[in-house]
Amino acid sequence: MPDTAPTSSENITCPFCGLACDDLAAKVSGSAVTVQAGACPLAERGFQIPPTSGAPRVRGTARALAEAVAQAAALLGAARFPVLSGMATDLAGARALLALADRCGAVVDHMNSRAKLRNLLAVQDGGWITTTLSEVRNRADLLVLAGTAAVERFPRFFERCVWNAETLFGLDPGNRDIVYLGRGLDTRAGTAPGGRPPRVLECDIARLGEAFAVMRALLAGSPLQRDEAAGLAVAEWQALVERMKAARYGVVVWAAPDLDFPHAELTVQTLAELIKDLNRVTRFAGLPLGGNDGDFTANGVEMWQTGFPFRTRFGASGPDYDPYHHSTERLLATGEADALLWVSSFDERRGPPASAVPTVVLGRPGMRFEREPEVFIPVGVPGLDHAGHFFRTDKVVALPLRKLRESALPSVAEAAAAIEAALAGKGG
Amino acid sequence: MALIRLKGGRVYDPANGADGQVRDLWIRDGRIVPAPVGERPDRDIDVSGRVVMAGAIDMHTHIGGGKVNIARAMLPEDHRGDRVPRGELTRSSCGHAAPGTLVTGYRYAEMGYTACFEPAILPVNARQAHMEMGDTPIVDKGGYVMLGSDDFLLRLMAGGADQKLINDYVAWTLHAARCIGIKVVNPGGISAFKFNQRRLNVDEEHAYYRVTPRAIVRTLARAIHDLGVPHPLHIHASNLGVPGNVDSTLATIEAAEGLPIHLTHIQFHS
Repeated sequence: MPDTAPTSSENITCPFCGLACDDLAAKVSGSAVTVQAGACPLAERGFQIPPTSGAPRVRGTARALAEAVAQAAALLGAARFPVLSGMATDLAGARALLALADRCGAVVDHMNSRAKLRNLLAVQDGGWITTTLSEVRNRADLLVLAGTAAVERFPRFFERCVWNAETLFGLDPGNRDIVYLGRGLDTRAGTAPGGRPPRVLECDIARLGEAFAVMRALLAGSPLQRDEAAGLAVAEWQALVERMKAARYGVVVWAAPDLDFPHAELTVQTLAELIKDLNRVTRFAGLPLGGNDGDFTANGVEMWQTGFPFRTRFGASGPDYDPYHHSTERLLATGEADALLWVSSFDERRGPPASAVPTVVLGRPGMRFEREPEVFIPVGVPGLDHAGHFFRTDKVVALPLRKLRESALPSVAEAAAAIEAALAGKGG
Repeated sequence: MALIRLKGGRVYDPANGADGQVRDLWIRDGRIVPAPVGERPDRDIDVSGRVVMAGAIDMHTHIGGGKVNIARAMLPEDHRGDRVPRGELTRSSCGHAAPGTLVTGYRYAEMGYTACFEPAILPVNARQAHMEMGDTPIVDKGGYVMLGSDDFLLRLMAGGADQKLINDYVAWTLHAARCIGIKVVNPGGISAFKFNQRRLNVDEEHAYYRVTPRAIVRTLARAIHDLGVPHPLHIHASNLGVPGNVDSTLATIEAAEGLPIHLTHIQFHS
């Protein structure tokens, strides 16, 4: 069946960041994939790394898949407090992993959970108003980038969502007002096609919470006790909040991984409340950028099946959500976890955390380890080796991923289902 | 094909006047048939002491889609009060106000439901809605897809498009979203809010498209009728929860100009 002549494909969805751009074109020749349109550094790396041959390994020795599956099932079946983490997979993979986690009573976490909690805790406590990429593209007349340049993790953000050619409502995207909040951010992408540079408010990212609180107070007409916030004069924040009030459809963009300071969830919450305040007079929304490593996909499935997000344990009384205790790092450090199943199918550089507990890895081939895991099963990459589904950063859209080349590797879904079947066969 | 007998159950069937009648029911090829003469069943199931009734249908229950998952995200404390552990045949999940899909299916089945319909499927989110329904066990599922605040329809209407073109668009949407009906929520109002218009009465014009909710209801009800879609336009009317909104509800009924419509959660529109 595999064609030896190279084929070209269009309308390919890229799963290597949360933007899930679906306008890629690629040439496929055997197992070599070359991105021909819609390229960015993450897509090129993700699609073009030469595939490594992957045989499953048990304690470092190559074994047949069935043997590796049996060993993985034995390892997980013997554990009293297994942790399933990484969870960088597609929708089918997430479904199979959750069924497995339920069977062996595991904690389910995600490699990006520390950052994601900065948003999740704010959502759980008070909610927020967010928007979609289509609305940003068509309506935004002001974009405030809070503590992020966006393009490192989401390279084509400006190209796809800001500097588009036209809008539905006659707005000229080139007139969009771009404001960065932070220090040392790469603001080049914020320059308009006509050459107008963005505005930058140089301030301390770790103190953005003060700035949002000050802006809320200014909006409410409350007296302030200070004349500075986050390293900038209050007068500057006053000017910004006036500009935000005057916007017809304003958007604040942030990326949780870039808010890397203690209690960043309080900053996110203050921002969410500021956005709600602005909606009393105009339309304003947040755009939290995320979804890398399939984190919205895995979290979405876990939430709709159990009600809870990641950092939930399938305990004896039912699902037990505890964002503080059920951290992979903490459970490994304290010795509470006695087994680890690490799943990472998009980026072979994102391997398991170093630990001494018995470890099973379902990983993209080429993954390197500080300590060889007890079981390593190389798996296919969703959107490259097998078809699947992937949730975009705005979560509303789940895009289909295509199989671009032949691969002998099992998908995460297949491997996880095989491990669960092996466990069930043992009455576990 | 298989002949099944449900033996000795207490049958409730109001449509056929059975009010707790203890009797057998015969099923052949998935349909209830008269008791055959001189045939033995392939499966004989003893349901004595049990109620036998038609499965209930919940025609409007938010069981799938992004908004339901947002609700789940916002209610961890509610889930904690109703955690359901894994059973021999069932998986762990949580219940109460925004249950997990697993508990949704189990509890609907326990209550005697056999079919549930998600009434508000956003076309662009249809995949997620179907995935969530796919993870809802036991009961049959389906959905209604939302139109009425989508820019494509409003542009067509604003441009005076022919009803036939609108019918094609409605048909395409039904097919693409794999749904059995069309839902309209606050006709035109969801779109109006994006333009900072904060109220849209039935005869008020959308600030950008200059189309009224009345026209949207009439147009979509006509499309449903022309296409022969069995389920009438499923309407969450304008001004939900606003005091005095009985006027909007009466105007919405008029807007359909005699075509069938379904007014949903009418208690919020009275």
